[in-house]
Amino acid sequence: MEPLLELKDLSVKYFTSDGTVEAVNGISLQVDRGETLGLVGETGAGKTTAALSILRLLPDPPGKIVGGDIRFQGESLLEKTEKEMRAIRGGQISMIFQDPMTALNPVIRVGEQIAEVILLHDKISKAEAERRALEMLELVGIPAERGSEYPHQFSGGMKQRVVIAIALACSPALLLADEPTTALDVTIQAQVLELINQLQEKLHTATILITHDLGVVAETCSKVAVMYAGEIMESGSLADLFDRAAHPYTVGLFQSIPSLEEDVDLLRPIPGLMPDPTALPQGCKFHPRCPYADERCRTVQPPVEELSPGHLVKCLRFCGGAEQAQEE
Amino acid sequence: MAKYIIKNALMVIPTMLCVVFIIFTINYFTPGDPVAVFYDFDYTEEQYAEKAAEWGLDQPFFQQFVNYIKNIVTKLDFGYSYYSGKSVMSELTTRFPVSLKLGLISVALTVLIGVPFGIISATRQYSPLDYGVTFISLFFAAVPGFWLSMIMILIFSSRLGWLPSSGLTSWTCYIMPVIASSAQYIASITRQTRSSMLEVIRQDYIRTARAKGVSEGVVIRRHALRNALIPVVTLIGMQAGAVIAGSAIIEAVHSFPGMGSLMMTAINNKDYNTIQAVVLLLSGVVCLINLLVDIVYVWIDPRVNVR
Repeated sequence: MEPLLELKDLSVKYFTSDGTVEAVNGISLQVDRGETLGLVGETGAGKTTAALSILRLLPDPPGKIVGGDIRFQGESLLEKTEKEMRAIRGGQISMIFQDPMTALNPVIRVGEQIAEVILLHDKISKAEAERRALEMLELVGIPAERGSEYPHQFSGGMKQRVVIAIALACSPALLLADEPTTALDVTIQAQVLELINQLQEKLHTATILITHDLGVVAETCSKVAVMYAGEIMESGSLADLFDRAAHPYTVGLFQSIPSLEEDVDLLRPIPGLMPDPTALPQGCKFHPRCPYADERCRTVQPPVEELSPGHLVKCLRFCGGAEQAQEE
Repeated sequence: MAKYIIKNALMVIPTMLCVVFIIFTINYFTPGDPVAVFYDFDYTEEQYAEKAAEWGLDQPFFQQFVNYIKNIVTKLDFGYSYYSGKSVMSELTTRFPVSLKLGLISVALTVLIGVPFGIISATRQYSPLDYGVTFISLFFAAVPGFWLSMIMILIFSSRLGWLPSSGLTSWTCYIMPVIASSAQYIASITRQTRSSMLEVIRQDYIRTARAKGVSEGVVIRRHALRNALIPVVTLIGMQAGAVIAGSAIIEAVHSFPGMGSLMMTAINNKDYNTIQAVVLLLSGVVCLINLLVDIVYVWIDPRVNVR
């Protein structure tokens, strides 16, 4: 069966006056129906850009999709007209944004904001849409009578629930959740994740969960892709990544999490900083920070290597046999 | 909501009282003798005392002040013009509607032209259209109204003979004063709408709207415009006050019988009662417009009500 969403060698650049930002550089990934993919990476790795390109909502100018293809349910989204895209946005693919404080329109009642998306995609009367909007509110745990209130009357966690209600109101096939819990308190985070999980199972929605929190990934995702400087460095099942992490960057990410069992004085961060996206290094993008980097890494772009079925890694150490690398 | 409006409406009363007191005091202590001006400096002691008593000018300051307010509140009587001897109120009733009409047309024109062009300019940022609108609005923002008046009279009255250059004999007499008094405001409303719109359009909730599949036109009308109008309404309110108050210079250039020219004549003739009445009326108009702006705020921005 063909995947629900397939990114093929997608590249996105921002053409700014300070230079060209290579935000996404040839990423490929697949999401099947109903499954949850975790897209992990540091701030600036290109995760949000990738998600916005799927909806074709990149700020243009300066953002442009310069290469590759995005196929959704077997059809290329890049060939769709703006009108066809509008039918997809909010209807079949919807998005939850990072900051719930600013994601809702301050001058429109929340009930109307939910009803709007239903009215756009389902052919029903206004009254019916409003009734369903209130049902959605109840579904995310907000009393229906609060539908006539404005966003400023809600707390951050409540606002994110409203945003989730908007995103899921039309039972989309794919949900792009861009750091949906980053701006929330830890206790609220758990509730919101739980809510997304529940609704996703109920509505059979596939999800791309964008996050920099590996704990969140472990809890919610079945597949993981690790992004660095606009490339997917490693991807695979949850077990592949968490138990058999291969790429030095992924390993570094896990090592930087402090352990409860060990008593450590210092955290172990990955040395160095994310490269400047207007001047990415030659060869492997991670080589300046990689403890295993050698001469070849500076010049050769590592190809994608399949370590085991579904477990892909982009590192020269795994080219021509994984055993050699494992010995080190 | 009703409570909010009543509260704001009641605030007008102390404001107006302060205005009356300040104007009255300034006028009282300003040198110049209205009685002397009335007789053109040619009078006998008796004539002087008689006129001063008739106008109540022989009474102490505080008594005069109280009488003045009492007459206004109970009889809508602003006293007599020291210069013409006519009732100030009768002068106001002929002048004020003219200025009000001029002001309202100007404000309507400002909103109807300024806001749409601001939106067009913002939604097509950096397009030739945007540059065109920006250039024209900067030009008109820089040109003083009276200069525009003179140039228009030169072209449309003297050269082409299309429009009457002065007076108020038909509706065509409104055309040039309206353009002259609104051009600058149209320009600044356009600029304000543009920048406000550009700011709003970058907000996250606009992206949310787009991600819902809302069409671009609806994004602008339903999601962006209401938010962008909040600062614009403030500006419109301020300008409405200024325009209705009457631009003295523009009215003078066009010999337009409005409040502005009444004010100029009154000042030149030390016609205290008229000056006081005009200033009072204009402060009242400004207060009412502010009240209106406050009400519009609540209607546009639900967050205001809470405060």
